[in-house]
Amino acid sequence: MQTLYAVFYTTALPVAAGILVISLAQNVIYLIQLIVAFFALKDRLRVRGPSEAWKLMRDTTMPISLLVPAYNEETTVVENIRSLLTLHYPNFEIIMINDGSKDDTLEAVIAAFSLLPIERSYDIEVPHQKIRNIYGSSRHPNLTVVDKENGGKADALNAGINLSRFPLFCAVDADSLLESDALLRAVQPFSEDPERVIGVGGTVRIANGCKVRAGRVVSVDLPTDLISLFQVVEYLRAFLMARIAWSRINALMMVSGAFGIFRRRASVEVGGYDPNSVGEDMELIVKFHRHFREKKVDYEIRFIPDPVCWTEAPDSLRILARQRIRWQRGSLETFFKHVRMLGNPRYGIAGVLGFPHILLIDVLGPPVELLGYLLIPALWFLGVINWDFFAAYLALVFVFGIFVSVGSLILEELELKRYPRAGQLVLLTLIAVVENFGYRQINSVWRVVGYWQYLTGRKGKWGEMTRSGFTKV
Amino acid sequence: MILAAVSIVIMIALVFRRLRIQKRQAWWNTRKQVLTPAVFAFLDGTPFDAPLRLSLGKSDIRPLQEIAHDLISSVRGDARDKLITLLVEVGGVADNTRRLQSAREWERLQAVRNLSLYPKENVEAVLRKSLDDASNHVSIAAAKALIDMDVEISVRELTEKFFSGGGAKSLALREIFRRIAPNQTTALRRMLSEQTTEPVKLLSIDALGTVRDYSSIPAIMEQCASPSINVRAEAMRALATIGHPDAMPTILTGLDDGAWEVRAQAAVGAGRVGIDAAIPQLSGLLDDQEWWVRFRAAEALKKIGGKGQKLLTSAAKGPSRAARVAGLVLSQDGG
Repeated sequence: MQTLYAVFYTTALPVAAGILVISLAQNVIYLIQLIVAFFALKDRLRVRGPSEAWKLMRDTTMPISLLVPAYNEETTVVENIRSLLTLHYPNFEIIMINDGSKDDTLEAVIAAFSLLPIERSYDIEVPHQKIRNIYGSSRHPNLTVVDKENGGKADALNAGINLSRFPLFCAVDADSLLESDALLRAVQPFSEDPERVIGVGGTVRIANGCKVRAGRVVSVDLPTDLISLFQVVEYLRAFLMARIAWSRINALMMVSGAFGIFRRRASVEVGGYDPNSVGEDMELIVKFHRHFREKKVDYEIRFIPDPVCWTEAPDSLRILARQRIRWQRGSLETFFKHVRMLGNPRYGIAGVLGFPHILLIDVLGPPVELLGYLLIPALWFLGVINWDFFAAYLALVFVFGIFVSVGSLILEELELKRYPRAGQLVLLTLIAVVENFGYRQINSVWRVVGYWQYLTGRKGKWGEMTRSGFTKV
Repeated sequence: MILAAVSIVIMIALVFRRLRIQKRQAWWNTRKQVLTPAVFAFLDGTPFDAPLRLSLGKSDIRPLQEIAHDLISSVRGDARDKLITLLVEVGGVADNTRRLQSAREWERLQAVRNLSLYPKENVEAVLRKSLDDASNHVSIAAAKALIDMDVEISVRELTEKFFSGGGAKSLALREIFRRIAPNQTTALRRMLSEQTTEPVKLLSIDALGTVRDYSSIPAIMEQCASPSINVRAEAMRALATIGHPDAMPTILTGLDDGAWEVRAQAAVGAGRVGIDAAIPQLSGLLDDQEWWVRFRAAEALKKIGGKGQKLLTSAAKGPSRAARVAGLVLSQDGG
């Protein structure tokens, strides 16, 4: 027994020190991200409202194919396609891909848009399951609906890439709402540097609580339930801090699957989306870095905060848990698939900084965080570590957590001001503090479950989500 | 601990700042409510309400500008001229010229955009100065504004401003080249014969193609022999856009080019010009390695019609990739 205690005593201290070092490293990175994001946001060009965006940007756009993969979306898909059809953009087509839905998604779309079977020439440039039928309508010449056998979201997007004929495609979730000028704004990096830019991501915001009319967010408000409120702060942190900062140094490792624009040819060159990955959005970006660095081709992947896509966040713990577990599995799959990039100078800043960041946050982060929550208080209680050590840990986890979350809010308020009332800022500040006590810890547990599922080889194709629907006016 | 406390204090300060912004926004809206009917009355012929004019404060310039700018895009003729006169009278030019001194790029850009609405004589000198702005966004916006005002900017001047450091690549420059092209075809052709950089060549070819300038066909045809794939493909695209039979020999040569981008554009050209002599080559391209070339070749055969269409119909039989693309193109748009 004494030997066991001795072993515990001698190993626990280095483990605790390791946890502290990793937490410190994470927080230092967050701090740097905040500073970089602040300057990037300050420098960005501002355009006032959709009509000014149309006036200023319409002449320098490139044609886009909007790819809308859908699986069991019969309740929302028609309204969302209608909303996409009214986007302010000079030249775009919508390709909605029904990925073998079990409900009446296809029937709903066929009926709503008077679709008929058509022939459309395409090449199999990236792999996907068999296409059963293609539909079109003379009433909506820029809408094409593809009905294919079930293969998952990535597979559906690949089918869309094959059918698209424009130089750019935009992957957008069937349940998300794009702001009317989102495409105009998001395509600007392609217009500014058409040869180098291969991908652009825009901001995804939580639509829960917002008022929606005819597929458009007409009034921005906050959700009333705590779970969705936590996610509002989380999304601000992810998009306004992390992505802006990484984009600034061309080491962006993730463009959200809900809203991203890519150069079609570049995507074909890397083989399209990986149908076997649950984190197909992240995997595509990492693949871009890997491929173009190996080929020594100059490229850029950018994030810009102004184009906004609104999405409905899970408002129940059960569904949120499912989503986060899936995200964690996706990150791990991508990391280990491309692990050779880790720290490898051949892959430039993506290999030297971007990939170690994934290691620190997504690979080491979840188990270290959970272990810290369990081990450090126990060690302090047992007297293995002193109060100073324990206090340093608490400061890193909770105090720094508050700083980072509130810091993201500060960025939002200084530069974007999307929440119109002062009262909303007060509420968000409170949430940014409270989320550090409980919500973050639950998230760590979900991520460790995701870890477990990854290690035990669990697979999945579509992240099914039960939706409450947007607040309509 | 200090960091978290500081961030919360900053956030509290921002909440107060937001309250002030909300107050200012309320003032702004009130002023707009007062000024909008006066502007409409002014457009209807009533002189700009004298008491109101007297009551205009210094800070009213911005809301008034906003109202006028929003209206300008939807009115024409006299009404537009009157709005612009009004903006000049209330000091819009001076206000925006001041904004051009701002350290913020977006502020200067906004000022250039605003100034583009004013009469040439009031703003040409200021906008010309902005051509030298440190930001490409601002200088490109200034160039666009000047061109919209029919101020002549030579191709050489543009080239020196935007391409001296290796070459800006913004699509906005393509738009600028297209706009100046109708009056400057000779200068654009000269750009092709001189030792200019590839981006300049590409923009010049595109601009000449867009204006469909027949006299430029020989110069563009010469570019189809360039060692650069981009230049050859752009030149072939321009020839396809112009669609003149004089380009036939070059298009036929392009169908055998080593780069698929050039072959695809040549196929488009063959279809648009309707070159019967291209049918054998197009038939061969139905089995090209690259899908886009196969697709464009099939489209061209369909467009040429007659013998081309017949060949496409017979090619559509069988399981080959040529048959697949031929069949799909034939059945597209009702065959």
